[in-house]
Amino acid sequence: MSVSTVRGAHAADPTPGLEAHDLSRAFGDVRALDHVDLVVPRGGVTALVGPNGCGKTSLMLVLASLLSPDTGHVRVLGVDPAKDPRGVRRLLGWMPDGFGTFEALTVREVLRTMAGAHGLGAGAARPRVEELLHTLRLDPLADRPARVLSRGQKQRLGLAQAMVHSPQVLVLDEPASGLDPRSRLELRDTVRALAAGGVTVLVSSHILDELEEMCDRAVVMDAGRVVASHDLTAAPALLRWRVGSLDVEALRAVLAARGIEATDVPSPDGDWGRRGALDVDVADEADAHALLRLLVDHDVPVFTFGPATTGGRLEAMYLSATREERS
Amino acid sequence: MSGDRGRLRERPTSGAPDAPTTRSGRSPAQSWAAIRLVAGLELRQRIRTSRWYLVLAVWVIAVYGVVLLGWFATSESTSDERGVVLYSMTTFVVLGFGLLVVPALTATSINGDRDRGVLATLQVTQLGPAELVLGKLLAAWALAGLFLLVAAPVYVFTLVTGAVGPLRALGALLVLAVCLAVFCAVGLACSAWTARTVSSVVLTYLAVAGLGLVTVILFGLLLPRTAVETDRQVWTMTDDQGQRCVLQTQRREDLHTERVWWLLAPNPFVVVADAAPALPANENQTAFDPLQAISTGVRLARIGPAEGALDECWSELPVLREGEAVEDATRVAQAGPVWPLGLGALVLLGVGSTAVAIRRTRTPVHRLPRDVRIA
Repeated sequence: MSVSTVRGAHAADPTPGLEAHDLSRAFGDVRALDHVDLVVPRGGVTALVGPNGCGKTSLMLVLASLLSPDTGHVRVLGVDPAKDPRGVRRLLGWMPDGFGTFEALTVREVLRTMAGAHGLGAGAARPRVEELLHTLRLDPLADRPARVLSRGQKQRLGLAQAMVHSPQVLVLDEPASGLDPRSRLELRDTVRALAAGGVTVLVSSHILDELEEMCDRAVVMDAGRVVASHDLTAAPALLRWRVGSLDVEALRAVLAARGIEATDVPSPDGDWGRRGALDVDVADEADAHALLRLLVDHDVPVFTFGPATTGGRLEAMYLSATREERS
Repeated sequence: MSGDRGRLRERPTSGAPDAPTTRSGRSPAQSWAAIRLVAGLELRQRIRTSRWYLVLAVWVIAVYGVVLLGWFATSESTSDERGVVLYSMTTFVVLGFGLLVVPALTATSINGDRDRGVLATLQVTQLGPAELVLGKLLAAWALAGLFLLVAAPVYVFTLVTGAVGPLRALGALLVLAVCLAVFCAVGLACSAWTARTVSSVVLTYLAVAGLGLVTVILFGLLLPRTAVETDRQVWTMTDDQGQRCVLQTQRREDLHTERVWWLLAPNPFVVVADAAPALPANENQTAFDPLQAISTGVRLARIGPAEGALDECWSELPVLREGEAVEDATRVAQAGPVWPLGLGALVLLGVGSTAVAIRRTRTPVHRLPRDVRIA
């Protein structure tokens, strides 16, 4: 079991944002967490991805001081929730997956209550709540009862609840689920702004391309274990590029003359005539640009040119990491 | 805002990992504010969502319906007698209906919140498990107090007519309030103990019914087992010459109630009846006072069968009888009150239940009951 350390902007800080050491937790005969080792440096956004039931939520519950591990421990900015849960709760905001809310209260009352529960006095709570209502575009809904909110609006309220005590660490479990595209972009901007302000964010999601735009790092979990971790800001070794041409044989000839390996992309409907697509491995974006110039110089009729995996690098990484585990 | 921020900064955020840290380092003022916050949240939630005013209306109709029946039933009585009857009836109706209504206030308090996914959002704040549970208890008790308040005018009436002294009326209200708090606490413990709300409701009602009914049933079932045959001196009328009261030795069965009386002690009805100070001795007092009857019965049960000769001549004649049994009234006075024990047992139950509820709301959770999701 290797310690998966992902370097980030604030890696120089001695205390990591989040740590897990040899973390195991079983529910009956289900091993939700199986010797998880993880270090999330302070600051930045880390994605936690993995198939359903892989232990993401359990890991987040342990971090949020709600669940005790069977073995191992976690630290939130150096504080162990098993020893000082209140200390952890002061530092960490947690947004659960599929949470409910105090349905009879208005949005503003919910946030004021949560602020009070976090120990903020009325004087501190009021401006903070108004600020959050504004940041998360909840001000038109502030005096509506929470039960009439749509799913997406409830997600935004959940994020506001998690942020009400200005935590230095945010643990967000599926924050983008149920959000419309506009709200997703706003969530991304909110999270990026928080990270820019030095907040450590751990966010889980199934929507990988959303995470890719939001995250600096990614940790892949499968079957209760961390199976991969990547720095998304660093360039990967090889990128798979897809080239579509109106004349696939001309494309193949130019590539073969240069000794560039290419793999055929099966056409979806069987017969594309002369049209076709080939996948080519390139080192980086500059390499891809050189390839495009080459093809254009040779009058290859190119009509598509871009990354082969539609979901981007994170999806490719996720698929390869979970596939290795399965095989 | 700056004040709060400043306070937050004082706490070590990245100290030595194994340094002893305070689990609850909260001042009483902070804890009290937290309890009030939870209670306020509970009350607002309940008053806005549930049909509480319907329940309250039904309650008013039930209490005053019974009072009205009592009023008509005592139309021939003096106002003193009427006051005593109304006082006793109201106390019993409030306690009986309270036994039915009040456990429902808390029976799904904790597992219901968990089902709705709002418990965990509170647990990750500075609120401790004790503050959460006590806040919920306070809110439920306040609502129960509302039910009690509805009955208060009847007590005022009995006070005004002079049938019942202020001490007696106040005592009944106080003991009732404590009983209702205990029911609330039992409901909280059940809702913290079981994952499913259906189970906790059934469990709460079983527990409360156990106090109100099962204690009496058990007492009744065990009573015959306390019978002991002994030779007793009995003053009895002779058959042969008639009209003569003689002392005979007869084989009698004594019920040793002193072995099982404690079953009745924690019964809320017994506690309330026995705690109410006795009516002032009044020669003309003929009204039947059920509270007094229960109180006398339990106190007699506590001391068991009378010693000395039994008087079965029942004559008013001032005949000198040696070794006569002591009068019941004197014996009751000697027995002393039962309610401090009963109330003590109830309070113990309430405190124990609250402690269980707090234990089961503590996070981080080590053991999870089956089928429970934290969030």
